[in-house]
Amino acid sequence: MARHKILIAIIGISIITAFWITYVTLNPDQNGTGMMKFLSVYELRATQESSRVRLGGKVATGSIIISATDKLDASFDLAQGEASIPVKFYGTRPDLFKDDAEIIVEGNYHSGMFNADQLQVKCASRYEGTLRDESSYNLDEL
Amino acid sequence: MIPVFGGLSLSLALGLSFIAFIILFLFIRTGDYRFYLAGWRSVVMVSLFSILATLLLLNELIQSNFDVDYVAHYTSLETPLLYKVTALWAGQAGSLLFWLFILSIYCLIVLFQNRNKYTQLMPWVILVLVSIQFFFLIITNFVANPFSPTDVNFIVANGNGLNPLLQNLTMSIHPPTLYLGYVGFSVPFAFAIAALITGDTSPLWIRSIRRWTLIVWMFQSAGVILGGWWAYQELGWGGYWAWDPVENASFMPWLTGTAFLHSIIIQEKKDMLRIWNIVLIVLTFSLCIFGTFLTRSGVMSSVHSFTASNLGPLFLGYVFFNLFISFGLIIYRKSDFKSKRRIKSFTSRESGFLFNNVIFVIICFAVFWGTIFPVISEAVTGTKITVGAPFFNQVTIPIGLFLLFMTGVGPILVWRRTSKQAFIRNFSLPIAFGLVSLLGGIIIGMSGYVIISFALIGFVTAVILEEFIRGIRSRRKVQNETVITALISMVRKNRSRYGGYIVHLGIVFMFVGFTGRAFNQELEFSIKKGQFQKFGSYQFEFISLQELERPNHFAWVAGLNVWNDQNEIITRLSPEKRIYFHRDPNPDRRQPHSELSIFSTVFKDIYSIFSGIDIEQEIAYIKIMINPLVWWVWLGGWVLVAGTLIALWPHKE
Amino acid sequence: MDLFTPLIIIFFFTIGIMFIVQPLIESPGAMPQPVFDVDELKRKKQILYRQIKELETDFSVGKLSQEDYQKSRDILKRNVSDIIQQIRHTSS
Repeated sequence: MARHKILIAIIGISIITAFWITYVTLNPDQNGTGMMKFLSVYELRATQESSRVRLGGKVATGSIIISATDKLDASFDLAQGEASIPVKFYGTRPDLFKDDAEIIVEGNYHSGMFNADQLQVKCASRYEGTLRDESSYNLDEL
Repeated sequence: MIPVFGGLSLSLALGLSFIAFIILFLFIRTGDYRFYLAGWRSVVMVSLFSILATLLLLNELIQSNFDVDYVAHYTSLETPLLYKVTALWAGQAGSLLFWLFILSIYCLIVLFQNRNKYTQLMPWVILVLVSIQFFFLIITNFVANPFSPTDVNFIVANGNGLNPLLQNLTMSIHPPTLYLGYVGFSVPFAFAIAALITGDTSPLWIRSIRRWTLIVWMFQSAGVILGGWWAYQELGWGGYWAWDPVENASFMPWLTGTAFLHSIIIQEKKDMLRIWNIVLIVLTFSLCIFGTFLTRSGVMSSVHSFTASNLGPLFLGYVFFNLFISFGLIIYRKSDFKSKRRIKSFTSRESGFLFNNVIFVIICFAVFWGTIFPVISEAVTGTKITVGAPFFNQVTIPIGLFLLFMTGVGPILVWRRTSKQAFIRNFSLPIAFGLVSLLGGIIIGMSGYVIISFALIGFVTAVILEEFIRGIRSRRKVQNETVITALISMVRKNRSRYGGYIVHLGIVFMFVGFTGRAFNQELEFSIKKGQFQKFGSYQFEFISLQELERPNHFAWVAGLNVWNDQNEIITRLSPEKRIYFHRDPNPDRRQPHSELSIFSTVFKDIYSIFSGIDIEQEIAYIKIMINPLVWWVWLGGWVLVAGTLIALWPHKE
Repeated sequence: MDLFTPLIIIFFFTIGIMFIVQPLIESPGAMPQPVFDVDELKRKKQILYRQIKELETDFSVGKLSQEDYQKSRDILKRNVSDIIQQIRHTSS
C-alpha cells in the first residue's frame, strides 16, 4: 500500500514540477530579463526587434565617446563587419571594455539607437587567460 | 629538455594504459592472478607517469620556460610565484592535465587501499579507472598537449601573463577544491560499474565508497561555495551566483551527488534503491565530465565555437559513451537488482530520503534545461534565446524552498514508520517557531518568497535545535553530565547523524544569505576629493587618492570613509583601480582591473567598486552596493564543511 | 632530436615494463583467499549494531511509539543473530 502512495506522490511531484518548468519557459519573467533573444548586429537591423534583447558585436574602433561631465555616460558603435548600431550606456563599464572588444549589451532598440542597461565583455570562459591573442607576443612588437 | 620529458611521460602513460587494458583483459579471460598483479602494477605506472608529467609542467611554469606555449600563454616574468603555480589550471591544456593528475592520485590511493580487499570488484574498478585515465591521456597527448612548443616564428621574451581576475587567493584554491570533488566521483562510479559487471549489486560496493563519497562531496561543496566567494570578491557585480553555464556546470553534479549521498545511506542500512543509486552515480559522473566540457569548450557562448574546438565532440562523445555503457549494463543486469526489502510506510525515513532525492534530481533537471536551452533554441528555431538569472531564480526558488522544508521534516522521520503522536510531539514547537517568524516577517513588511523563506528557516532551525536539545536531555536523564559534556559525548557516539544535522544547519544559514539578496541596493555616483555622498543611512566621504606601483601592476587607491547616521566613522573602504601589465610599451595591452573593497558584517555588506577616475579634476566614479546578510552564505559554507568533518571523523569501535 | 632522448625513452620504458612483467615471471600464485567474506559479515553486523543504537536513541527522545520500537528492534536483533550464525559458519 505504502509503495503505491509513495509512487503516486513521486509521480505527482514530477508532473507538477514538469508543468512548472514548462510554464516558466513559455511565460518567462514579466520584465523580460529571464529569456531574451540573442541577436547579432545584422539580425537586429533586419528585424528591428523592439522587445528587450541581447546584442552581440565588436566595439567599433574609435567610436567610444565618454561624456566630459560624467564619466559613467558612454556611447559607442557596435559593429559586425560593415554594419553597425549606435549604443548608449550609462553605468560602470567592465574593465575590459575598449576598442575592438567583443561585447554583449542588453536593452531595447528604438528608432536606430540601442539603449543598453547591461554591458558585458565576452570571454570564452573566465578561466581562460587568452587576453591577447596568440600572435601578439611576437618579440619585434614588444 | 624538460618539456621533452613531460611530453614523453604523457606518451608513456598512454602506452602503459593501453598495456594495462590488455593485461587486465587477460586476467578476466584466464583468471590467472599474476595478470591481475601485473595489471595493478601497470595502472600504478600510468598514474606515476601522469603525476610526473604534471610536476614537470609545474616546473616549467615556475622556471618561466617560454619555449613551452602554455607557459608563454599563461605566465610572465613578473607573475608572482603563487600565480605561476595556479597557472597550471588557468588554461585548457593545463587544466585537463590537472584533471588527470588528481585522478592519478586518487587512483593510487584506491589501488593501495584496496590491494587485498574486494577481490571480485577490484579488477573491474581498476579497469574503469584506467579507461578514464586513457580518455584524458588521449586528450592531453593529441588534442590539447600542454607541452607543445611555442611557434618557431616567435622568440618569446616575456609571456602573456595571467588574467588579473585569476590573480586572487580564492581563485588559487577554488579550482583545485572543485576538481578534487569533480574528479573524485570517478571512484564511486568505477565501483558502481564494477558492481554492475560482476552482478553483485548488494550494498557491498556502497560500503566501500561511502566515506570516499562524503569526502569528495565535501570538496565539491567547498569548491562551489569558493567559486561564489571568488565571484563576489573579484567580479564586481555585487553577487556570488549568476547562473552562468560555468557555475551551473559545477552545481549540477553537486545536486545529483548530494542526492546520491543521501540515498546510499538507505542502501547501506536497508538494502533498498539498488538501481536508483547506480543511476545517480552514473548521472553524477556524466555531469562531472559534461561540466568539464562546458567550462572548457565554450559551447555555451556560441554554438559555433563548438565546431571550432575539437574537444567539444570528444567530450560529448565520451559522455554519451559512458551513459550508453552504463545504462546498457543496468538493463542487462535488471534481474539481479531484486531486493526483497520494500518501503513500509509513507512516513518513514526511507520515503523521506526518496522524496529528497527526487527533488534534487528535479532541480538538477531544471538547471540543465536552462543551461542547454540556448543551444536547443538555436538549433530548433535558428534564433538563439539566452537564459538569464531571473529564469533560474523563478524556476528553482519554489522547488528549493520545498527542499528546505524537507530538510526540516527529515530529522523527525525514523526508519520503517513514524507514529502520528511522534509527529505531533516533534512538530508542534518548530511549527510554532515557523509561524512566529512568518508573523514577524509580515509585521516588518516582507512579502512573497522572502516571507516563506524566513518562516521555513525558523521552522528548520527549530527542528534541528530540538533534535540537539532532546538528545542532550535524554542523555542527562541517564547519566549525570553537564550540558556540554552531554553534547560532546552525544555527538561523538553518533557522528554521522549529528554531523549531518550540522551540515543542514549550514544549508539553513546559506538560505538566510540567499534571502537577503531580495533587499540589495546600489548606487553609482561621481565624487570629488573631500566631498560627501549620502546613500541610505550612510555618508561616504572621499578623503584620499593614492598612487602605488606594485610588482605586477599599478594602482590608484581611493580612500572612502563611511559614516553612519550617528555621525561615526564605521569603516574606511579602499577600492582600487589597477592597471596590469603596466610596463607593456603598447598601451592597448595594458589591462585595467577594479579591485573591490568590502566591509562585511553579520547584517550587511558594504561593497565598493572604483569604476573610473578623472585624474586632473580628482573625481572618482564609485559604485556602492549594500548587500544584506551575505555573510551568512559564507558562514553556512564553513558550518557545512565542519559538519561534514564531524561526520567523517573515524569511529572508535 | 639528439641521441640522448631515444635512449632515455628506452630506459624508462624498460623499467616500466620490467616492473609490470615481474609478477608474470614468478610462479603462478593462487588468488588470495577471499578472507573478506568474514570481514564483510562483521561489517554488516557492525552496521546492524549501529542501527540498533540509533533506534534506541530515537526511542529515548520520543520519536517512536513503544510498539514500533519493539517491532523494529526485534527485526534488527533477528538479523544480527542470523549474521552471527553465518560468521560462525564461515570461520569454522
